[in-house]
Amino acid sequence: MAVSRISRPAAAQTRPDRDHRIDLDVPILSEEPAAVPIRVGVDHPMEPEHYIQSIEVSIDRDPVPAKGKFLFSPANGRPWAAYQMRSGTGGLVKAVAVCNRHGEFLASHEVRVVEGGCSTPPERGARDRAGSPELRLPRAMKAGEPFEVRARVIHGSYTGLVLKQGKYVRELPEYYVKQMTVWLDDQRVCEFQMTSAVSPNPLIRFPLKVTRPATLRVQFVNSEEQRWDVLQAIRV
Amino acid sequence: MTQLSRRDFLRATAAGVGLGAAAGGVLGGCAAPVKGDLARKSGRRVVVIGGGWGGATAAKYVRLQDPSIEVILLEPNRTFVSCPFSNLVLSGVESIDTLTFGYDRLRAHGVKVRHETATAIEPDTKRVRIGEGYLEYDRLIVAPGVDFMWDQVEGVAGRESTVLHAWKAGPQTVELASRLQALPAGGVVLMTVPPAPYRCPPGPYERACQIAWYLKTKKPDAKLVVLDANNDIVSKTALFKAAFRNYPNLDYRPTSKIERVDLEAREVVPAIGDRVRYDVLNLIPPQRAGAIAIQGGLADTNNRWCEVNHVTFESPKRAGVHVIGDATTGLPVPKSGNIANATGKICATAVVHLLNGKEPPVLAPGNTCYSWVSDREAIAVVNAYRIDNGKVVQIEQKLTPRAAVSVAQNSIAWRTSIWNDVLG
Amino acid sequence: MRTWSSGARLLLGATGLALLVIVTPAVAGPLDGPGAQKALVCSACHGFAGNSRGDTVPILAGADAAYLKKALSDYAGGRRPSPEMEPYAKMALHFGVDEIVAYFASQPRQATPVKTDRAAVQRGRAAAASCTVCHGADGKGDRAKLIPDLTGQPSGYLQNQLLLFKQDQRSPGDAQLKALKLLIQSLPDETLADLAAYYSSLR
Repeated sequence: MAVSRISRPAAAQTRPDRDHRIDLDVPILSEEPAAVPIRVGVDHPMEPEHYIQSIEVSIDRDPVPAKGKFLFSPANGRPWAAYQMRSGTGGLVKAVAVCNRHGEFLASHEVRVVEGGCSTPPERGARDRAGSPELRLPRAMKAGEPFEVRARVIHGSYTGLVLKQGKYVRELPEYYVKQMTVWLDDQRVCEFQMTSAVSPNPLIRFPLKVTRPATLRVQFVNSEEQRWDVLQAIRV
Repeated sequence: MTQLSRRDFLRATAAGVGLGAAAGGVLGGCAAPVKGDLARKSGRRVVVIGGGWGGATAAKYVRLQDPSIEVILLEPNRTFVSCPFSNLVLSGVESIDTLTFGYDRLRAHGVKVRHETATAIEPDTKRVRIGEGYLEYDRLIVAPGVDFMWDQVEGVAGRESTVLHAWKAGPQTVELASRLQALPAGGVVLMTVPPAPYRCPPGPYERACQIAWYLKTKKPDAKLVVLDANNDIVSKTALFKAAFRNYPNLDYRPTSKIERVDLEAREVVPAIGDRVRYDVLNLIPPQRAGAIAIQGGLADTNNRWCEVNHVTFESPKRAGVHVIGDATTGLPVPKSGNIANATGKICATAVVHLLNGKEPPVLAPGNTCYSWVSDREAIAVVNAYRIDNGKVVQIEQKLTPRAAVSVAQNSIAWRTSIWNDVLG
Repeated sequence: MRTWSSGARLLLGATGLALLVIVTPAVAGPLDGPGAQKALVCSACHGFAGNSRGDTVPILAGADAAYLKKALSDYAGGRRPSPEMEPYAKMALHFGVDEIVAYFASQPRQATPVKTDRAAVQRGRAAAASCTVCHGADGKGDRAKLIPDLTGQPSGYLQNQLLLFKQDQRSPGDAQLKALKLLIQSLPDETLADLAAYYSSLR
C-alpha cells in the first residue's frame, strides 16, 4: 500500500535545501469507501525556525472534497498523521504541505473506490451515544524522541448528503467531529481540522515529542460545539 | 470453499498453497499420488475449483444447460456444510446435521466431483494441477471462497489451528458451540470482526446476536464483547443496533481493530481502548480470495480479491478463467451465499454460451440475505441489480422494517430452495 | 442449445420426475428460452423452474402469466408491500417481465411438499363454501378474471396472503379485491389457517 511521491513546490519562495518529499500512503484500490486509510507525512525537521506548518488532504471529485488539515508545531517532533477518510467517488488524492520557510509542496495519488456490499446508507438523523474519548501512548517514552499518539472519540460522521439520480443532494445538516486539538500542559502542540469526510469514530495517529514530564490533553469538538477532553500524564 | 482441508481443525494445517501430491493422496483416499493427466479430455470440459455455494451451483448449471460438456468439480471436503444458518448452531437453535449435505445429487446431474485439492492453475497450458497430476480444461471456473490473512493478526502466527474462527462451517462451528456451553460462570466471550470486506457482511452481527441470546438464556452472568475493526455495524446497521439493545450482556466496541493477541494471557489488545481478557475467543481474521486464486494470478492490485468481467465473470488477467463468489471484487454486491449462487448460474450460462460460440446473455445477480437476531426472529436485506454499460449497478436495496418471526419463516423457505438450487 | 427431448431425459435421471413425459408441447424445458435466463436468480427462493419447496414462498411454475405480471407490477409499485420482493420485481420489469412470466407459466407445476394437517384441511373444506364462487369448486380460479390457481401452493404462503388481505395491507383500496377482503375480514385467523391448509392440499 505504501507509495511515495516526490513532491513539487507549488510556489517556491526560497530555494529549498532539501526534498520536502511528501509520503502519501493511500491504497490504490479501496473496497471500503467509508473508511479509506491514509497516512501522510514529510521527511523534514521540526525546528522552531524550519518546520512543516500544515498538511492538507483533499479529493476534488468528491461531494465533500476536503479530507482534513493537520496543523503542526515543532513539538510534534515529526510531521505526519494517519486516519481514515470517506470517499464517495475516489479520484486524485492531493496532499499539500506548507513549510514555514519554503512554502507549499504538493503530492498526489490516485485512489479507486469500489462499493462492495449491502451496507445501508446512514440513518436519517441518527445520533448514537457520542463521547468516550481515548488515548493510547507507547509503554515507554524517551525524552526528545518522537513517539506515536493515538486518539479516538466515538462519534458519528454524516455528510447529510444523499445521492439522488446521480447527484448529491443535501437532505440534512452535517454532523461530525470538526476539530481535534492537542496540548502539552499549556502549550498548544497541534490541531486537526476535520470535515464530514473523515470516517466516524475518528482514530487519529500522530507524533509527539516531549522533553520533560507533562500532561497531554486532547480535545475533540463537534459540529455542534460539543466538547470532549481526555488527559494523560506523560512520564519521561 | 478453501482448497485446504478443514475437517480437523485441531490438526495443524498450513494456510498456504501447494500442499502437493501428498495432500491429494491423503484427502482423496487414493493409494498413491498420480502424475500426469489425471483424466484424458475427449470433448469440451469445464473444471470448477471449489464446491461451495458458487462452485457447486456453476457446475450443476453447466451440466443442465449443455450435458455434452464434461464438468469436473474439485472440492477437498466430502461434505457441504452451509455457513448460512451455522451461527444458529452456536446458540443451539439449529443442529449442524441439518446444514450438512453430500455431493451425490450433484453427481446425479453428471458433475464429476473429485475430492482433491487444486494446487496450481496454469492458464497457458489450460491445466489445473493437483500435485503432480493435472486436468486439462477448456474453461475454468474458480470459486475458492476466502482464505485468512493470519499474518495480519499479531500474536497468532504459527498457532492458527488453536484459534477458532468458525468462519467456514464445520468442525470449528461445533467446537465453538461446545466452548460456549462450557463457559464458566461470569465468563467472557470475545469475538473480533475484521475490517470489511470479508465473507458475509452481516455474519458477525448475527453471530453476536446468537451468542448473546444463548448467554442471556443459559449463562445469565456471562458477557460477550465484540471488538469490531469497522467504524460501525457493516450491514443492516439500524436493525442490528435495535437487536443489540435486547442484549445488555453484549458490549459492542467499534473502531477497535486488533493490535495483537496474547494467547497465553488470554487477552486481546485493540489498537486503542482497553485490552480484553477472554475465556472463549472467536477471532474472525481479515480475509482475501482463496489461495488458489492468488496463486493463479487472478487477484487485483491489492493482491487480495479478483476483478472480473461483470457479465461473464471472466478474469481480465487470465483468458478462459472465470472467478465467482466471495473471491471477486469490483461488483457492488456483498460476499453472500445468495450472490455466490447467482453468479454461479450467470457464469455457467456465460461459459456454456462461449463454448458454443455464442454471445452470453446480459444478466445480473440478486442478493437476499437473512440474519436471525434471536431464536425466532430475523431481519433481511435484499438488493437487485442491472447491467449498465457492462457493469453491475444496483437498482435498489430494501430492508425489512423490523425483526419478525415471518422473516425467519421466509428464511427457512429460502434455505430450502437455495440448498436445492446449489446441490440438488 | 440442447433440445427439449434431451432435457427431458436429463431431468428424469436427476430427479425421477415423470411429469415431463406427459407434458404438452406448450411446456418448455426448464432452461429454454430467454425468460429462463432472466429468471435464473429467482430459483434461489422460488425453487428450480419455479417449483418452490418452502412453506412461505409461492410456486410460480404453471401460474397464469397475466396474474404473475400483475403480481410483479404490484410488488414493484409497493401495492403489495414486500422488502423481499420489491427489488426483484423491479429487476424483472427491467429485464423483461413478459418473457419471465411466460417462462414460469410454461413450467410444469409440482405441488408443494409441505404437509398439511388433516384436521385443518377438513375444517378448511367446510369454511371454503363461500370461496368457491370465485375460486371454483376445484380451487383453480379463473384466468380471465386474474383469480389464481391456489391448489398445491404451500399453506404458509396462502395463510400470509389471507392475513395481508384481512389487514388490507395487500393492494389497499383495490376495488376488485373489496369483496374478497370483506369476506376474509369476517373470518377469525384460525379459519384462515384452515382455509390455507385446505387449498394447499388440493391438486
